[in-house]
Amino acid sequence: MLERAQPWTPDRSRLLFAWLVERRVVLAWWAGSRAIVVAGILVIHWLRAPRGYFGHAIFAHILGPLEAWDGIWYRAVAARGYLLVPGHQSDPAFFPFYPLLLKLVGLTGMSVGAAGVVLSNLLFAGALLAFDALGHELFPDALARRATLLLAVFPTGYVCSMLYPESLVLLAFALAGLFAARGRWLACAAAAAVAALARPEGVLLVLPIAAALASQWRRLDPDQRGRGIAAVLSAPAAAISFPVYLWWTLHDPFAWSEAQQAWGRSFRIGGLWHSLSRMGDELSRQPWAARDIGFGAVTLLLLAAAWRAGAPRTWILLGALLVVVPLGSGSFNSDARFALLALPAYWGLAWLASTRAVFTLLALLCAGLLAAATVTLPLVFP
Amino acid sequence: MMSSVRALIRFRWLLSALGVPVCVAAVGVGVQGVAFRRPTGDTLVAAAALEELLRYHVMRGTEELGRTRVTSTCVQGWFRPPHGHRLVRGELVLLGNGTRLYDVGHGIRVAGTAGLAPLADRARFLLAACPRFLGEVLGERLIKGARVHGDRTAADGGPALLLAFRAPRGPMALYVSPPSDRPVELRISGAHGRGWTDLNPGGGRAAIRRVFHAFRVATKRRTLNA
Repeated sequence: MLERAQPWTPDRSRLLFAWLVERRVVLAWWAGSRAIVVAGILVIHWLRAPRGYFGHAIFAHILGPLEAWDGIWYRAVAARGYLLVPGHQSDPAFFPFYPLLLKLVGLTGMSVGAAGVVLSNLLFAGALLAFDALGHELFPDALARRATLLLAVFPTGYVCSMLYPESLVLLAFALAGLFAARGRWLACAAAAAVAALARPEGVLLVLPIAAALASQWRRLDPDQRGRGIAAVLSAPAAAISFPVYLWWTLHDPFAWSEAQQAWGRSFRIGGLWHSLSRMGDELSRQPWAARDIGFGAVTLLLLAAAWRAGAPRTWILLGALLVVVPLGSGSFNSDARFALLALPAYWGLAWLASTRAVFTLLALLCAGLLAAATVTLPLVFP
Repeated sequence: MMSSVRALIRFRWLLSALGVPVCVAAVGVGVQGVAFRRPTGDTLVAAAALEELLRYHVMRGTEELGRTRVTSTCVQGWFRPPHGHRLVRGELVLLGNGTRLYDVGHGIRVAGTAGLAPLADRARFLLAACPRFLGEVLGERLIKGARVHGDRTAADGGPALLLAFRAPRGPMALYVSPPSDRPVELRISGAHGRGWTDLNPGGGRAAIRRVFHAFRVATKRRTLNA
């Protein structure tokens, strides 16, 4: 019934060390990209510029900018729990798993903000290693590794160093895919549940997990099939636990969607058309929308490249939905950040960067844009 | 017996297929329940009262400040201020003695005079209990996790819940009528002095027209000629 657990022995420690040494390039790129983000943050901390929307409190300490924007809300959930405040932006708009981790790391005695920044960066390292392993399951080694390195320096990846759940969700997405590809269904169910409790997009994992199960169905015994079905259903089950909790604690199972409305995210029929038809208006009102529109479009193009590279179709569909579904709210706001989770886009980018010269050029471009995105953090929310 | 056991073994896969997701959902709820602090009953009542308050765009009342009683009508909406081009959100308060108070985002002012309103007029404006204005104060307190104290009491000739909270200008107490949470009374104390209002939320077109007429608001474009 259950999957066999391996006892932890000194041999396994040595194996883990050897495994990490094999992936030292990935860890080096992770360290390098995080150094770019931290350097950018130090620059805006010392210059106290650009000021943008940041007040004195955010500039007061070095990591302040990484704890800003939604990070304030995630910290508030960790500290005070949920409360729907009618007519105001309030915290039921934020899914619970990341603030739950913040609460746990806060027990170390560090400030929740600083501990959260460390946590997000470590989760991003884990996400890169898991994505690398997933890539090796699906593609030739060279393409898989290039995709991992490009994800490490991807411009919107600065958010993976902030008090945001994106690094956690990236890790959970990659692990769910990896475990599904290897037929480890209970581990896959756990990873999918974490993803769906951290961001609503986690529910979309149903697609690639179901496809992996379908592809292995004939060679699975009934027990394995049962566990496979469990893995498919785990993400929706975990996501449902959030409204159930809100129902229990706030007596309102729809608190999440009501809070989303206060954040300007009310999904409606025709929302996608509204987003596209009013793109010009949005750009003239808020020129930074160009960033979200641009990254959304680039992600869709990269997904097309991933299709050519032979990426699993359901992963591509998941990536496309990550870009398109938020537009149903009638706005491009934060679409660049949502698109960050589209894993096949990095396989598409790696497929385009097939020669060393193109790869170097793309990596440098990404690193430059990563630095630019970090130093403009006070000007626009991720 | 044997056939039942065989059937159970045959459908054992269903146990994990359905049992694991159910466990995931149950553990999810349980972990959130253990990890996060739940709001107090008083806080939930305050949030419900806020929701009810924000349903109204007009608030009528009878204020008592010092020993002077006066009726008040607050109308909130979008207005074009004098010499302004863009519509701004604001509140217009017409008192029974003819005083016109307004706030379009630059502080409480008396129509026809320059500068901010004197302290007593600011208290009058607060007591008019404009839903959005009062909702901002109460909402801010709730978002910041400030304590809201609730008590069962009586107001306006019936049972009421008293919600006491500290606003930037001093303590406030909002009385709401259960179970609808309709606001029935507001009390303020602090820098502006002590006072209370008997509230009557909502108002017909006549009340709105009277306020607009007093402020000489052109109803089509809602231009405020204060």
